[in-house]
Amino acid sequence: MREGSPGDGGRVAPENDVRRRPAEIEAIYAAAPVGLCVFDEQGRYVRINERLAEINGRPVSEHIGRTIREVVPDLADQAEAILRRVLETGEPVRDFELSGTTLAWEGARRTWLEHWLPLRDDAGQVIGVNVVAEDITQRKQGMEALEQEVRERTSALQMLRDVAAMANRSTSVEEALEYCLRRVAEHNGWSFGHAFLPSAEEPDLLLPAYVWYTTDSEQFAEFRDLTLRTVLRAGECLPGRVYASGEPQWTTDLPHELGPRRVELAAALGITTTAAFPVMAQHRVVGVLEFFSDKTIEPDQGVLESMASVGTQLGRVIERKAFQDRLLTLSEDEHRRIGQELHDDVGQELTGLALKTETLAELLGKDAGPAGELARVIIGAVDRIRGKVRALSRGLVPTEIDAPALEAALEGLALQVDESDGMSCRLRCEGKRRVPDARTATQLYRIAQEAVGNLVRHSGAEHVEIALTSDEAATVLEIRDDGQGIPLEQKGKKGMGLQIMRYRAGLIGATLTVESSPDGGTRVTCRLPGRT
Amino acid sequence: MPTRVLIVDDHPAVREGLAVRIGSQADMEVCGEAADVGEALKVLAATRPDVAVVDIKLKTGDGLDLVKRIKARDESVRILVWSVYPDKLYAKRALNAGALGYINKEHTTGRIVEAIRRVRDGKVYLTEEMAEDLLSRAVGGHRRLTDTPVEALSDRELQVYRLIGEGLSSRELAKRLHISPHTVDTHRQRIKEKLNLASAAELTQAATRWVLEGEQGDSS
Repeated sequence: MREGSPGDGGRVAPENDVRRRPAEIEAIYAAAPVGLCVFDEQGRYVRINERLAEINGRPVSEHIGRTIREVVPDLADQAEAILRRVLETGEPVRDFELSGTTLAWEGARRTWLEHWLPLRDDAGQVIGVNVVAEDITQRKQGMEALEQEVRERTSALQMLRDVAAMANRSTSVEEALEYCLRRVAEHNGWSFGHAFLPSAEEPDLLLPAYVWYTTDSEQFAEFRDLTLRTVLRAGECLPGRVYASGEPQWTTDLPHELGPRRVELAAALGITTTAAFPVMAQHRVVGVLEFFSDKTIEPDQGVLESMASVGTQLGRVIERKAFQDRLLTLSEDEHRRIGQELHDDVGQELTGLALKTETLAELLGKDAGPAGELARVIIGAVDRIRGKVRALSRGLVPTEIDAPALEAALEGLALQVDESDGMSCRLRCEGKRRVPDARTATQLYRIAQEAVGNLVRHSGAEHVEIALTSDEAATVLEIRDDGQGIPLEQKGKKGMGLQIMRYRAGLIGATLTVESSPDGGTRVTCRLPGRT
Repeated sequence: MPTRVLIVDDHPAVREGLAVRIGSQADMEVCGEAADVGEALKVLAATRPDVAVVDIKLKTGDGLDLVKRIKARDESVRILVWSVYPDKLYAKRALNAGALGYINKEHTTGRIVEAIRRVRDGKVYLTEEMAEDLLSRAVGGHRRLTDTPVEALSDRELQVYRLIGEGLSSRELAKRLHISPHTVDTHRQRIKEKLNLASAAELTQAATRWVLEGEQGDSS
């Protein structure tokens, strides 16, 4: 309220000049960019400006004398509470939000920022409430949208961080793929996720990786099984096109090419959105991730960007594995070379030597005394050496064991151990032997070899059991003993052997764990998931 | 007159050892040595041996081939094939090629001299086991089950298979056997079919393993 100017001397202060008020007030009311009104003590509209009348959806005249509840029933509960408070306390209530709908908005929810102030008469009594109301719906929506975006970006960033961390740690491509499928699908609300990897022998061919993600196993069981059998060529169908082009594809119309029969199944499942993303290593496409949803999810720039990152992380895992594969192959090649040289060169040298020593023995004759004795000793030694060289050269060459022969090979291993002093070893095989190929069989055998070798050397065990069990869920190779066990702190020291076992497991997509058995001794478990 | 022996083997230590062995015998002498087919034929012409001891694995060319060619040049030469490869597979082929005996290097350095004498005398030399095996095949042949797949390979295919197992590439194979790469491919294809192998990688692995397991003498 303005102070009266000094020197007025008896004139009424303008603000108290009752004759001036109505005009001023009218002017303010009319010009105000906000909603204004006055309630009396019963909550009846005494005056209201055009703006607020518009907000309320009724002409000014229909407000005067009516209560809040009659005009804006949806806001009445909130408003009446505030009214009572102002009237009773005589204190203003500022900066609060009123939310609801009015006739003007036909059910749409709006939000207003309100200030409700007590109106006093000349005696200072509260006789009503002065209201200022501003529609902040749009501003609020903007804020909420911004907050939502921040939340989403943070969540996306978190997901990318998690994917990166996992990519660094993962021991196998399958593990990394599975993790990514799950995180991405959960984050983006996909119902089914899967990955394709190019065949090693024929890079033109996309093979289904044995990993998937789904929100509903039962519902998607048939789709999953079909997907796991879908082989595509570069350029063929949606995933094939992504593979060939290195560009993601995202559609909310069911694509007419997903692979044999998949389209029908997808349609039956109510799938509407399909998206496939490339996994990149440098500039090469080394895999394709595909996702499906029964909700319509429009292509989203943010998702495309994060998928590019996910793709790159996965690409690193795949590259790393390919590199490790090459290293192992190199070292196996080296072994093979050594084995072959032993066989070809050293072996032959020894043959020549054997011939000479035989001749020497003959020349010396049967009764040549110490010289003859010595010659015979040398012949014996040469024979032994030849035997060892033979065994060594065979051992160095990683001859592949076929899948069906794995059991026989493990039996041979068990027999070998059984024959060594103080240790008994038995083999237990259960379930239909299901090992997909020679490479897998070989690695499993080598893992068993390594584990058993460690036991023989370190554990002081008396009983060893090698178990190969197989069912729908997994093929499990277990080597157990009753020795002194491996104290957890020492596990690290097992060093190369354990690392190599882990690595071999990784090569075939299996996991390897070493733990102390509850009843003493150690248990090495190699678990190869999946039906084969 | 001491028996004149020609030694054909690609490894110098083996030639030397055998030469010492033969040299210590009163009734035989080494008249020449060679490491590959070409050299062998030259020395053959120059020295006219009575007996030739031939390894299957040679620097260039193939021992079985050489046996056939020696026989073609000079019927009178008696040939003993001496190799690290298993009897079961090569004994019959060696005899078919015209040799009189087959002896495996691993177990029989003690018997080499005996083998040379038998062959010199025009008699067949085989281990007892091998002899029994071949006899029973010859007699009850039609009732016997089919040969193991490798036995079903032709001589040439077996050559190719072995060389693959020894690590030769197709190109090196073609050079070694003096055949075209196309022919090598055809052989590889037929080998794969006969041995039921699906890919080049499988072929290499099977061949490598087979060559190394040959060390065992009797193939398992």
